[in-house]
Amino acid sequence: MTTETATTGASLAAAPVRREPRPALRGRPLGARRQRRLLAWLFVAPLLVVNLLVITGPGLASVFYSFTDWDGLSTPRFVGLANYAEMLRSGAVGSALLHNVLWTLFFLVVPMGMGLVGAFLLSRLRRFQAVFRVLYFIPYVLATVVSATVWRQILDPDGGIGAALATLGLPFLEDVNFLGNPSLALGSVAFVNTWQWWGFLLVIFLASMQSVDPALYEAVRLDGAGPVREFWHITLPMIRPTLVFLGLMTIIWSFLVFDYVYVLTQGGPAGSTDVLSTVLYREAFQNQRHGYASAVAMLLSAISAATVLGYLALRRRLRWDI
Amino acid sequence: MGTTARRAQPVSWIVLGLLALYALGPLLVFAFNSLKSAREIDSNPLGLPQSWSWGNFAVAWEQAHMGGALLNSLVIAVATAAGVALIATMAAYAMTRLDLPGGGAWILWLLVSSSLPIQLFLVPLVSWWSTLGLYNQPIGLIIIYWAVYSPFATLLVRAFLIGMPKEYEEAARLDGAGELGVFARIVLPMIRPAVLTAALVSGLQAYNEFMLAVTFIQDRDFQPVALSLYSFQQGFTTDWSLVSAAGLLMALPVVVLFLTMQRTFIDGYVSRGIAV
Amino acid sequence: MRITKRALAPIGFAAAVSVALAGCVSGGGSGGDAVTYWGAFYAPSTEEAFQEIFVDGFNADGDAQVDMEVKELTTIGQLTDTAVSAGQAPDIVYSDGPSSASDFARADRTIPLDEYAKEYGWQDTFLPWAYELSAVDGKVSSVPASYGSMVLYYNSAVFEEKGWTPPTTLAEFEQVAKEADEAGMVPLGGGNAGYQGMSEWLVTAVFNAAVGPEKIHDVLTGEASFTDPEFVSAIELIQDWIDKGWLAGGAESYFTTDDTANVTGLANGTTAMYLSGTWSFNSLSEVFEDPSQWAWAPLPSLSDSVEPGVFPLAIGTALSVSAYSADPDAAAGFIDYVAGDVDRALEYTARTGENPPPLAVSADQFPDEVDDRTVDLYSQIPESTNVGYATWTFFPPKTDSYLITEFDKVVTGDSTAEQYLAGMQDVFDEEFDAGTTLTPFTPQSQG
Repeated sequence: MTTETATTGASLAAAPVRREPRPALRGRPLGARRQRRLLAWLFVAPLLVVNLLVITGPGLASVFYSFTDWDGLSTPRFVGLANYAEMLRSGAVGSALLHNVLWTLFFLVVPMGMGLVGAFLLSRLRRFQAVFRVLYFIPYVLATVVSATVWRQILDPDGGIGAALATLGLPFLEDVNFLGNPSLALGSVAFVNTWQWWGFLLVIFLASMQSVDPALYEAVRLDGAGPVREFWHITLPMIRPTLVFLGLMTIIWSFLVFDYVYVLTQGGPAGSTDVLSTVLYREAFQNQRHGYASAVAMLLSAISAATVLGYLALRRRLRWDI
Repeated sequence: MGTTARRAQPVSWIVLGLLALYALGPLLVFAFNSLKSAREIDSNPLGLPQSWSWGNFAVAWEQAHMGGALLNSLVIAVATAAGVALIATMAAYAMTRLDLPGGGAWILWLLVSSSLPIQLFLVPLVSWWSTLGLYNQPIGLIIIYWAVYSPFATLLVRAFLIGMPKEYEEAARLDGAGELGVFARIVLPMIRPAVLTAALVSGLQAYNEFMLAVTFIQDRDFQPVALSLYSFQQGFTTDWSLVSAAGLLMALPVVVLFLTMQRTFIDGYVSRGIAV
Repeated sequence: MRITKRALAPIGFAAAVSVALAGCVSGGGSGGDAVTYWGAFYAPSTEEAFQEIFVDGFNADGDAQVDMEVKELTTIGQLTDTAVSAGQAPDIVYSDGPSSASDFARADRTIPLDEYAKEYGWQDTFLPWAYELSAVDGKVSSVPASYGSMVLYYNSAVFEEKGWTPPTTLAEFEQVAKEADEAGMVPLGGGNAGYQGMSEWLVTAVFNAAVGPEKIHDVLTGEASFTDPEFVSAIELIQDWIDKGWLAGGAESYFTTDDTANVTGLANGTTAMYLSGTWSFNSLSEVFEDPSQWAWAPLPSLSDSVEPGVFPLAIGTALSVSAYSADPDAAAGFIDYVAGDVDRALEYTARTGENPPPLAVSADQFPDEVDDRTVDLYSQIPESTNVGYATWTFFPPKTDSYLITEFDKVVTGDSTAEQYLAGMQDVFDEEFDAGTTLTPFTPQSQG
């Protein structure tokens, strides 16, 4: 990592000299503790206030709306669990959920894998590392509508990549309609979203890998290990915290995915790329069923809560310190 | 530094080159689009422009009022970045250093609030924001961004704080420094890269955000540049060449910023890794 | 991990406040003296013309003032929905047709306009079918500000070169399509990429031209059913075009073709015909290198029982007055200024090519600058007795939404015509029983 921070840390580390043991706490222990507590709440207050106002508050209001029939205009009418019952029976929600699960698996494997491998290879480069890093990251800064347009052209069956390869004598993708074929559409949208997303993961992984102690690599190299073994035995275990964190965020974000699906296919053809958030959007804003859409939102939060609780239990069981 | 001691093998170069191609190819198509006419995009989607229409940039700039919009976006992105950084750093500090009760509940709360679909909250928020006088005000939109982007940022900064040894702070406390002094003079400088990263990521997201911006800003004078990309429609027909030109103009400042701030941005994630 | 009660307390409080605030509605769309209007336009020049003719004109003519905020066409509908729900609508409420306008009226978010209708004489100003549509529970609730229809677009240069004439019957239509197909063209443009609602343009055109206005009227008034054989064969006709690869070049390309591609295809001579709305007049002139080459023809007849040249009628914009407006008189005055005056409306159409309000107009009233193709259309429609129903204007919202979303399965072949239509009838029955359907005009050919 970074010489800059390291020096800051080092100079600070050199400075302090312990003179007296714990004067502040010995003086007025109770008051100091209470003061810290108060300060803690003060420090967390801004986060608490904006989050309650913008997310948690309306989120809990949605809990209420999920038990009502509400068109967004008139007074909500209480219907008990009817929305949930309908959701459980709904084929649309079921297949959207399945697509979200597939999406999650895809994003846990493909972009994460590309980011990991790319970062590992980059971390071993002496030169041009910065060039690659910037290049890989640029797709992340583009607006969705722009990159979606470009990809629609590339995936177009008549003038896109399939046709271009065919003129080069490689007709294996000719006439393949990536976004129009119901069995290819979801994968194609995920592929496009990967393009935009994996550079972000790579940059984080790369940074994490560069903080691994080089001495560890030296040690296995003395044992005659090749790059593959270095990756499995040193890199992966050492960056586990980053890996776990991004894995968790990937799951949560995968269940929320909306932008690329909406811009590229709007959930079509024939619902083959529908995910929970496009179903929710359609129910709320096209069919004016805000109550039902709220129930779908509850499903989303339940999934993410279950994911986090699972992680917390795992953390305790494996005694991870992080 | 790291594993660079060993020379990279040809296979590494091939893999990195393929990945670069994957990243670069569509970017080239994008750049070409901005130089074609709308008709040519349809008849010649992937090739070089037949005539280079540099005028697209001027047309896009003018037609979408991009000058003012870029300025608005700059203000919104900077304010979002600064606010999120402050909110997240303070909260993370409270969670790791100030005996804030709650433990895992905070993580659960933050992650579940990142999983809620914000589009469902538009109606209550608009109604609430008008009561508070924040509707149709840039600051109203900025506050919403603070709320939406702070959970991830808080977890990021928190992870850094967990990995950071506490010795320096305790030494400063022993020297009689107050809690605020410890926070401002000792902790902040040490986690500066993490804070800057959180700021940059949230600023970037605010810069590209569309749905909240279009809902909460009605006055055209305040509109951010993300809305400009939707100005090239004739009813249901869209001029994709102008959209691309505007998209390029919109992305340029961010790419330049990233190039100049690379080190800082990347350093933010480093060190002992990231913990939840 | 433990969640303390204390940690949950503020959350509960926020939820309570949030529910309360979402339920109640704070008043006042306008802060100052001027009434507010949200407009969305096809092009900057259109916006400029609207600003000069209507906004500046209105502000100069009287004491009342109007203030316009410009939105994008793609988002104004949902923006207005959100603002109306939150009680923050502008004084003049825009809707993309009478059906959402009637939702607002039923929820008392907009006010009845009967007094203003009397004051400004709207009943005599507007074409009867459009005026009737604006009624909710017997009260005038909105004013139609633009109307249009579905037509068949083609490239006159291409048709000339191939020796084709615009088809008027199913046989002629299929002949042109067949020859276009053989020439390597896409015979009939279509698709739903970018905007799923494009599917209902096609369904509207085929329902009206193959099933006919009378039958559609009967279904909308509960006297016939979508499952009747006329509708089944209409949907099967579309399926046949898809199977032959005529529509958009096949099922898969249907999902990846957007309006831009269709219009560009006409201009480039790669698409032969395109069934679309009269809102495309502007974009066609923009995309065609030689704008004089694009042409429209009335819809051909697609079955023996329908006369050629049916015009499905559609209201593109309906305006109403917000219930929270501080100055409803000024808001209604502006609406009349925009929609109720023939000369002013035609001046706007002349400058912009925009669809005019449904006013009784004859060809000689159009200013000279108006494109002949526009004059043709808007002098033919009021004279025609063969007029039908656009689905987005006359079908109730959930039926319409079903029609669009489920049409995908017709294209992929996952649904048969019968299944698709049976589902449509189920949704329609629900809305019909709830009494939220609009009153369609009586087909004029029936008298």
